[in-house]
Amino acid sequence: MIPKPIPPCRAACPVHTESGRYARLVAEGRYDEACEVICRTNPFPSVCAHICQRPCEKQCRRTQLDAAVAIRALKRFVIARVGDRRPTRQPAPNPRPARVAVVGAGPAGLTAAYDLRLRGHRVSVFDRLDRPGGMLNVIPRYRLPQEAMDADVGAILDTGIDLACNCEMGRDATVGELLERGFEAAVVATGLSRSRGIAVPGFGAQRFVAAIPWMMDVWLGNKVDVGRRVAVIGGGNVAADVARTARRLGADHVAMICLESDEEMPAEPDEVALAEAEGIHVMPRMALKRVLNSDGHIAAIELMDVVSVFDADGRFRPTYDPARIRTLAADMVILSIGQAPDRSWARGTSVHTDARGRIVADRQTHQTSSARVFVAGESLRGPGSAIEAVADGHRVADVVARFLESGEVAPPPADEAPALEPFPDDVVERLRVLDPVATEAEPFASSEPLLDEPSARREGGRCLGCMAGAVIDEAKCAACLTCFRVCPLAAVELGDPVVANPARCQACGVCASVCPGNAITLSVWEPREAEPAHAEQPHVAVVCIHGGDADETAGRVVRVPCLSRLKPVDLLRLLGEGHRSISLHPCARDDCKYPAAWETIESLAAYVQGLAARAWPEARIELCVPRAQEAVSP
Amino acid sequence: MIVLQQKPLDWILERLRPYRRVAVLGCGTCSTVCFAGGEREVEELCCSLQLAQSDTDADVEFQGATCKRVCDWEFVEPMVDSLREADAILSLACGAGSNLLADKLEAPPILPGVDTSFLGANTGPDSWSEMCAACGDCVIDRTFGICPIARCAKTLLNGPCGGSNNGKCEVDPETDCAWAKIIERAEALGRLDELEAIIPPKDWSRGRHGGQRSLKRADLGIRRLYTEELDEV
Repeated sequence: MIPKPIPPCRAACPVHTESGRYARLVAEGRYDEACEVICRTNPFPSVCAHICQRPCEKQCRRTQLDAAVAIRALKRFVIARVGDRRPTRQPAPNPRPARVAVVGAGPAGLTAAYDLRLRGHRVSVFDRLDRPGGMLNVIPRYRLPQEAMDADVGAILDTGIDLACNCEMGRDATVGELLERGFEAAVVATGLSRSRGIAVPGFGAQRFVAAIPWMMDVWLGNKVDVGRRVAVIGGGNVAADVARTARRLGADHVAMICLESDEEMPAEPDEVALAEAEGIHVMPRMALKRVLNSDGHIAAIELMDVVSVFDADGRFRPTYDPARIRTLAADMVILSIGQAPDRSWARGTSVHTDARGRIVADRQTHQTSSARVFVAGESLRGPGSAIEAVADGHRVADVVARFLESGEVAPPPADEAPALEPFPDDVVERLRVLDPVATEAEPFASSEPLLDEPSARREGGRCLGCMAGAVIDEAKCAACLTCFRVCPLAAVELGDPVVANPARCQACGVCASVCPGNAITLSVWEPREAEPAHAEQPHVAVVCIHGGDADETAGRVVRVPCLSRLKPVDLLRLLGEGHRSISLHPCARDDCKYPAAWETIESLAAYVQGLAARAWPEARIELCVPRAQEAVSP
Repeated sequence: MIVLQQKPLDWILERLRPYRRVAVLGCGTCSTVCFAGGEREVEELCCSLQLAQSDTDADVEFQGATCKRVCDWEFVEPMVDSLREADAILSLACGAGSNLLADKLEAPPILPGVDTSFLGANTGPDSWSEMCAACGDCVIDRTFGICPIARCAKTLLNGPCGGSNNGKCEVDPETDCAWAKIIERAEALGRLDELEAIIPPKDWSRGRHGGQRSLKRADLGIRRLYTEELDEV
C-alpha cells in the first residue's frame, strides 16, 4: 500500500515537524499548542527558530503562487511568545534502565541523549569544550543568541542527563574505558570539528588561520586577532559567518573568495545577500594561488581564475586558468573550505578505521565494528545542518534503545511517506495571492526581527492547509455530488468511493458545510473551536480568525478558521445554548484566502436566518461586513 | 431517485404536540441527496424543534438518528429498541420507508416529516424535476425518450394540447411542454413522421389504478439461507 502523502514542508524537514499545523495554530492564536507541535519532534526549537536553513520553506506550495509561508519566523514568534511555558517532558519509567555514554554535546549528541533519557535510560554526555552545544558555539551570536541555545540545552539536560565538559575522548578518557566502566553503549557524535587545510605557498603564516578555531575563540569570548583587510577563503555558510564576523570585529575590507559561481555557492542565498549588504566583497570563481608575505606578515594574496568546479559527472574537480592572476591586498587569510572529523576518540578502542582513516560504521544502523559503539551526526553523514544532526540523533537513539532492550541492531523505520504533489496549474490560477510578511534581517542587526502578533497571525493564515483538507467518509457518503458541484478547486473526484484529492483541496471547508450526509470532515482543522462558553450572554459573535473584526466586549466570541466551514446546525446550536443573537464576522472579501468562502457565508447566513425565523422568530442572525470591505464597496 | 421535501415546521410542531419524546429518523439515501431528511437535516430539524419549544413550558425531547436506507429493514433493525422507546417517530424517509416502519413496528405512531414528491432527476445543484411517474408501462420508445406521462400535465399520448405555448406548458409557464420537446427531438433525429402513428391506450392496470403493486423475482433464486430457510430444513 502506498503511504498517505504528507505536507511538503513536513516531508522536507529532517525531523518531520508539522510546520503547516503550527502555522495554522499561530493563525488561530493558539500559541501553546503550536509550541507543543514544534517541540514534539525537535529538542532544539529555539536554535532552529534562529538558524534553521528552512528546508520546509523551500518546499512550501505557496511558492507556486507567491512566496513561502515564513515558517522559521513563525517558530521564532511562538518560542518567544510561549517562553518558559514551553512543554517539558519527563523520562518514561524503564524497568531496566541502561547506562549510555554520549560523546559530543552538539545537536546530534544531545538529541540522542534526550531521546534515550526520555526512554528511561541513564545518560552521561562528554564534551571536550568547556560548555555544551558543540558546533553551535561557532555560530555567530547575531544569528544565534546565547539565550536561545541555553534554553534548548537547558531543557534537554533538565530531563536528568549528566554532562561532563572538558573531557576529550582519546585524551582524558577513551570510549573503551567508558564501556569497561559500566556504560552499556556509547554514541559518538563528535561532528566535524577540524578545519580543512590547504597546500598553498604561505600556508602557516601568523595570520593565516582556520575558520573553526578562530570562530570558536571569537564566540567563546577568547582573545582573537583580526586584520584590517581580511580574505575569507570559502563559499559555504561558515565562510559567510566568518566574513560577517570579521567585519563586525572591525575589519575594513572583507572579501569572500570562493571557487564556485554565484549559482553554485553552497551558502544559503539570503546569507550571501546579507554578507554583501554588510559590505563583504563576494568574489566567486576565484582560487587562492599563494600568499605573499613581507617581513613575516601577510601583505597580499594571489588569486587565479577558476574555469570549472565540477567535472562532467558532477564531481568536485576544479580546473584553473593560471594565466589569469590577480593580486588582492590582505593582511589576514581565514580558511573556511570545509571541516573534517576529529577521530582521535577512536584511539584505544576496537573501532575499525579504513585505509583513509575514516571510521567504519553502518550508515543504516550507526553501528561501528565495536558492537556497543554507534556514531551519528556529521561525523557519520558529513557536513549538514543542525536539524539534520538532530534527525540523526533521533535515529541513533532509536537504534540504541532497541539494542539495549532486545540486544538486536536494526535500522530505524524508513521515512516512507511521500510529499504531497504540487498544485496543478488550474488550481494555482484560482488561489489568492497573499503578500508575505517581511522577515529579512537588517544588515549589522543584532539578530533577525521578531514578528509582532498581528503579523505572525496573518502569516500563519497564509498556510494553504496541505493535507488538512476534506476527508469523505465512505460509509456516510450518499454520493449526492454536492461537494463535487460546490468545490471551487475541483478537488472532488467521482470515483467509487467519491474522494477529495488532497493535491487540489485547500481545506476551505465549503464542501463540509453543505454535505447533507455529514460525511465530510476536515482532517486537521475542525470547526467549532470555541472559546470558553458564557451562555448566559445573549449575544455571540462568530469571528473568522483570519481577520474578522467584532466588538469583543459585546458578548461571547467564537473563533473559527473561516466561517465557510460552519454548518447551519453549528449556528442553531449556539441559539440552543441560550444566545438570542448571532453576528457573523468573516474577514474582508479581498483578504480571504479561499476562493469561494464569501459566497458560501452569505448563503449560510440567509439559510440560517430562514430556519431561525420559522423556529424562533425572536432570534437575530446578522452577517457583518468587515470595516475594511465596507470602505471599498461603492 | 425519489425527491422529497420537508414539511413546514409549523405543521410538524402541530402534529407532534401530544408527544414528549420524539425520535426523528433520517434516511441516508434519496432523502439525503435532495436535502430533505439526511443526517444534516435531522440535526437541523431537531435543533429547530427544540428552539421552537424553548419558549414554552413543554419538556419535549427530540432524538435524531439516520440510517442508511429506511426502506430496507435490515438497516433499521439495529435502531429498533431506541425507536420503540419514543412516543412518536417523525420519519424523514420517503413514503416507502415510513410505510415499512409502520408495517414492522406496532408502536409508536409514525408521523411524516417529509412529503414524498416525485421520481426525478437532478437539474442543478439545488434543483430536481419529475421525470417518471412509475406508470408501470413505459412508452418512451415511441416518444424519443421523453415521458409524456410524467412530464405532460395532461398525460397526453398523441401530441400536445392547445395550451402548448412557445414550447412551454399552459399549466406552468416555467415548465417545458413535454410534447414540444418530443417533437423537437424527433425533428433533430429526422424521424418526425413516426409521430403520425397513433399510440394506443396504455395498460393503466400496471400503474396506480390496479392497486398496490408488488414484485417478486423467484427467477433470481435468492433466498435467505441463514435464518428462516435453515429452520425449514
